[in-house]
Amino acid sequence: MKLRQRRRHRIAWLIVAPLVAVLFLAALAVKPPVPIAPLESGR
Amino acid sequence: MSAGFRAVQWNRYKIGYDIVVVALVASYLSLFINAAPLLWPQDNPVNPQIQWMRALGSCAFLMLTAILCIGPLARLDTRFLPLLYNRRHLGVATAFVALAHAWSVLDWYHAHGKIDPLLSILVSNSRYLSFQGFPFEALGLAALLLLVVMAAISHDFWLAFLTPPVWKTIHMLVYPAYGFLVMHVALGAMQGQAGLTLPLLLIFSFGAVTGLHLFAGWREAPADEGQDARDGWLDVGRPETISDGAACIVAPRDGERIAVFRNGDRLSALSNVCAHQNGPLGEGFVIDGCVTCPWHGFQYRLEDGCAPPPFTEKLNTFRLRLVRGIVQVDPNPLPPGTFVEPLNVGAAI
Repeated sequence: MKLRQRRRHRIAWLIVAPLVAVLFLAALAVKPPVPIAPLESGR
Repeated sequence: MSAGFRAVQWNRYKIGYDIVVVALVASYLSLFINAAPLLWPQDNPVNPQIQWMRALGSCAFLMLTAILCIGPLARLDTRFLPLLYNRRHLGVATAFVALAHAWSVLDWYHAHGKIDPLLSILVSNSRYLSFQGFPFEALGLAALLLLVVMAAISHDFWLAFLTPPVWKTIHMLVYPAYGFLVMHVALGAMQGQAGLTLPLLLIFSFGAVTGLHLFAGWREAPADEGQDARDGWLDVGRPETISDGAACIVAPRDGERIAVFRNGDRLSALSNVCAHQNGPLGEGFVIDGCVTCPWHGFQYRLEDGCAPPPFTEKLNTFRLRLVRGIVQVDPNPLPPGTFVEPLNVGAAI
């Protein structure tokens, strides 16, 4: 890859990875221990 | 390559690769359909269509995870390069599996209402300001659209038409697509299923992709610092330190990398960036007298950086000199395709 591409690649990772990690942890935190709205209900 | 249009330039390796991909997908789907009721009895029985929906969705997610791991793995260990060679077919296959998942979702949940199924998927849950109740279907749809766009323009025709920088930028959308997909599962299936299977699957997959990218980037970062030129030339090293048929890679400060190849007693310097998809040419080898890109096998002559006829790709070339037993390269690139007499280092080796 070109130098500029590699740098863009790293910046993209530094933005996307923590963002997704934080959102995922938030989703994990709000996950109910017992499913309240199973997918089969068409939620 | 550039000689003319062919839908797919099949060869034995690509056929074998695709057969393995199809076999793995079929095995996974079959295993999932048959084993899931035994592994998660508390979550069953569900009807066959929902089982297929889950099988296809998880298959597409795992395929995309594998695709994203291939790049850094190939940078860390060249034994993974064969997986990279035909990664585009794996990407297109992933888009098809994801489309099949989306079709089964539309057919089961949205096809029998009064409004259009595609509209229904966006408006049936309108809690866009909520986090836990966020319409995760929209996230999946966004990821699917990106995957389909990338699959549709994956052919070399589009690569040449859009130019490699634009094409590569569009294909970088695979990272937001993966992010959407992780959140699609986290806010969708994960919320509606008991147990730790899905959270662990997401943590392992996302952790593997992120960890591999960060590690490969960290390993490669020092090479991007480059070196300052002395008298306008960069030191490459002693000629015998370059393995025959391979290259030594140097970079000027804040400049593109240069690959200095040794072919017997002769040295030549080319841009390290392949004209096809910006692959790392310097990690390739000299095969049949031509530098061969490790990513997709594009070849270039050492002396002028031109692809052998009938192909037309050209690379920048660089001047070399030998000073007190040290090979040096002029970091100013010559126009693509410029002939440079190879540096004979027979007496110095």
